Amino acid sequence: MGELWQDLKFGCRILIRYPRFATVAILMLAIGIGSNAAIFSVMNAVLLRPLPISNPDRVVLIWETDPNRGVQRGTVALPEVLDWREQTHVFDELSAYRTLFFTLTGNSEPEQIYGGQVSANFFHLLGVNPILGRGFLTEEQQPGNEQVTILSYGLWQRRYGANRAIIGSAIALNGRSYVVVGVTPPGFSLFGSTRDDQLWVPFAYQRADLDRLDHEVTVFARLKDGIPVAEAQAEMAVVLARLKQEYPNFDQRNGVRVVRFEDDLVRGLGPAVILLMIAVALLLLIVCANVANLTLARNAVREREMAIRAAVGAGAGRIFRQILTESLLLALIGGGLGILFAYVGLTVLRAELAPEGVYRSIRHPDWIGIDGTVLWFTLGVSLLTGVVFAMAPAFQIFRAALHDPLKEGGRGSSGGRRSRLLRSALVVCEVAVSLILLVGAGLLSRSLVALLSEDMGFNPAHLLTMQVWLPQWRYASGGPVASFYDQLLTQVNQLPGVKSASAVNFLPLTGWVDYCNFDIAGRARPPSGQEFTSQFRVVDQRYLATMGVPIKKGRDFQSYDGPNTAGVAIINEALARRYWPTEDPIGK
Amino acid sequence: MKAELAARGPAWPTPASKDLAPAAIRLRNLSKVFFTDELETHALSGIDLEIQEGEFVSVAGPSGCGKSTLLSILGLLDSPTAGEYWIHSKAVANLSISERTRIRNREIGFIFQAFNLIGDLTVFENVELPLTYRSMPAGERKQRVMEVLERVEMGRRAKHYPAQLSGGQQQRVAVARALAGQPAILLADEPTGNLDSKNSEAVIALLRQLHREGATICMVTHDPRYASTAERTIHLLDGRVVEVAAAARATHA
Repeated sequence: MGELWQDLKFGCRILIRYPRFATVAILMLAIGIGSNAAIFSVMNAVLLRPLPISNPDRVVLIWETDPNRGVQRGTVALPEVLDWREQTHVFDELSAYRTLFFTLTGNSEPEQIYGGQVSANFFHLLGVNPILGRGFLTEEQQPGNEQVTILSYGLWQRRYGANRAIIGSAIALNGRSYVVVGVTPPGFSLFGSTRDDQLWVPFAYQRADLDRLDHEVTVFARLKDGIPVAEAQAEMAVVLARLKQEYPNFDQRNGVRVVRFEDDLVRGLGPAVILLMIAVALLLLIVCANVANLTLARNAVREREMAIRAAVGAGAGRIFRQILTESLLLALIGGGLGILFAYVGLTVLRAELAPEGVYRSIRHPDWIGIDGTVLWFTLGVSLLTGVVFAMAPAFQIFRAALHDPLKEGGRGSSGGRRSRLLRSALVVCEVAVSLILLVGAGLLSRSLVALLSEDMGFNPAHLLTMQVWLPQWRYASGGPVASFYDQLLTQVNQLPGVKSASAVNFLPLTGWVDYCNFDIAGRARPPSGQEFTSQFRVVDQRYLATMGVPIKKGRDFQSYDGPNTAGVAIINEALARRYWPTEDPIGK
Repeated sequence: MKAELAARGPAWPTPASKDLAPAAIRLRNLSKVFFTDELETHALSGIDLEIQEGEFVSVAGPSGCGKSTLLSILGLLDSPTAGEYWIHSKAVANLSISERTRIRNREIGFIFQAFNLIGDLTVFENVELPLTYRSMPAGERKQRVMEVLERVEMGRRAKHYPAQLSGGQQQRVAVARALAGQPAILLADEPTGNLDSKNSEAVIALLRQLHREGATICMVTHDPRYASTAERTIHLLDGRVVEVAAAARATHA
């Protein structure tokens, strides 16, 4: 311990003695280690941090697939879930879930919040126990008993002041009274802070009344212990085939896909984050080579010192420990500064990923930050970095002749051939790794440029969006809904600075889509599974003009188009090419 | 000093009489050749040499005759190309690096022309260095360092850095460092080479005193005044021993 203290003391003196070297090396290390810490923090949030549920590796989602429409993550009809529950053996439990938008009124300002409608066993399936109250009961799925709700911890804290007496109290949701029966634990968040459910209500249904064509729920399931996803997938395929025979009206080409919930959440992001991690690791390698080169240059003037140490009895291990201590000291200071850099970088990144931000693929931007795991990682990386860039100077010193530097006028600096070779080798490695990074960055930039120059079909410049959800209890039918939007859009269009305002049921690029099958006049209806089909959106007459979508042929919607006139639709070029490759679709 | 040398350990006991003692240093047909791309330089050729324990030997000769190379080999800083080398009857020419390091630390003390103190360490830390590498307890280390510093009259400069000392003072610190480990053999490579005559005299007087106390000393010098201080002077020329001359007066007690 005493020797370590001596080495540390000496290491500090050396840093002070060579301030330019120390500054440059520490800054380089801070950038290298800091970027690793920052990206690791993202990886930790996206890939490593376990979901706040019990045994998350056994929780899967079951999606319906529709090859005819290219759908891989299709929602499911509730009756199917009930059938699957009865006919499968690989799952402990199955549960249905769908997102709802609630208007919460009552003790404070009205607000619109995300919520979930779930099967009674939903929280049990996830292994989540309310910290207050209880979960849903099976009988609360009976119509008439369903007006109960479970609050998220955040909503309970924020809106109800963490009042424990909230259990058993009634709150107003969408104008109806619901009794609070439970509060979820803090940190329970399935889909992340970008779209956190703030409360949950149970499904209530009579099985006989359910519609098999009403595909609107996401299916959660918990695999039995030891059952792999592939086995579940195989059994689901058998069950689906049986159900297709039982219900001929069911789309015969539809399939199912069982996927781990964790994998589904990070779909597409995992490889990108890992690639980024590799890139910053390569960057750190370059930094190591750079610092090693600087250290070699500095050690050239310390060769005599090392020779003296060796002459008075320092063994190779002892000298290496001295070099290592100095390198680790440098790396730890760089790592400390790197954490600061990472903190600043992540603060900026989090702001970009916030719920109001434009990029919502990262579910939990709030998990991105400097926590214990990231600090341990950074410490590990710093120590490893210290060891790596200590290697070259140690090699140089071990190979140096002892007697030369000790002579009067002997070389105090090493211009030795070996040293030059070592430094050249490091430079070659740096250039090689830099080249890999540059090529990677170049390809990435090219993809980015291609992406940015991709024609989205609309002009996003100066385009603002907002979401409005009309409660069904007040706007049950089409008339009042249309009237509301008419009034809203008329007033918004009159606002100063507004060039044009319109409405659409699902914004583009949000992932929310709806599909419809259609017939084409003069053509026979295709067999099941090969129907004419398309995504569709319901828009108001100013939508295309507001979005800057050009009309290539035909006309835009007009104010006179409506429920009392002949139905009209505008299709895109892709649909026209697909179904009318040699004809003019206008008027069809 | 004699008592301290006796306390070195059981491997190399202090002999009862000089005649019965094994040689502190023995070389047989030792040679050293430096190879460069196209050139072979014979720095030492067929050196036979014995230095008895407690003997003070000087090595003299013109520049480039191989004095410093010989001292480097004697100090295990360099290896001979051929020949044999014993320290206290132990063959050391082909020892492992770690064994050579151990012998350097425990059995050999170096005094260099260029002082070779580490500029970033204080006087105390410089002298402490060989003891640190011996993993000696801190208390014992401190006591030993202060003893040798007092001995070379540098005790009050313990916290100074080498750059704050004169050349003579630096060489005295270097002597203190060489003595701190209580080595069996002191090797001095032109110890007066960078000193004025006053400081040179002081350093030589110190070496003489150490010799009187029983130290085995081998000193390289090109200065005949100081060479004659030793009991025996070995003259080298072109890497060969050309003459061994006994001094006019023996200094050993």
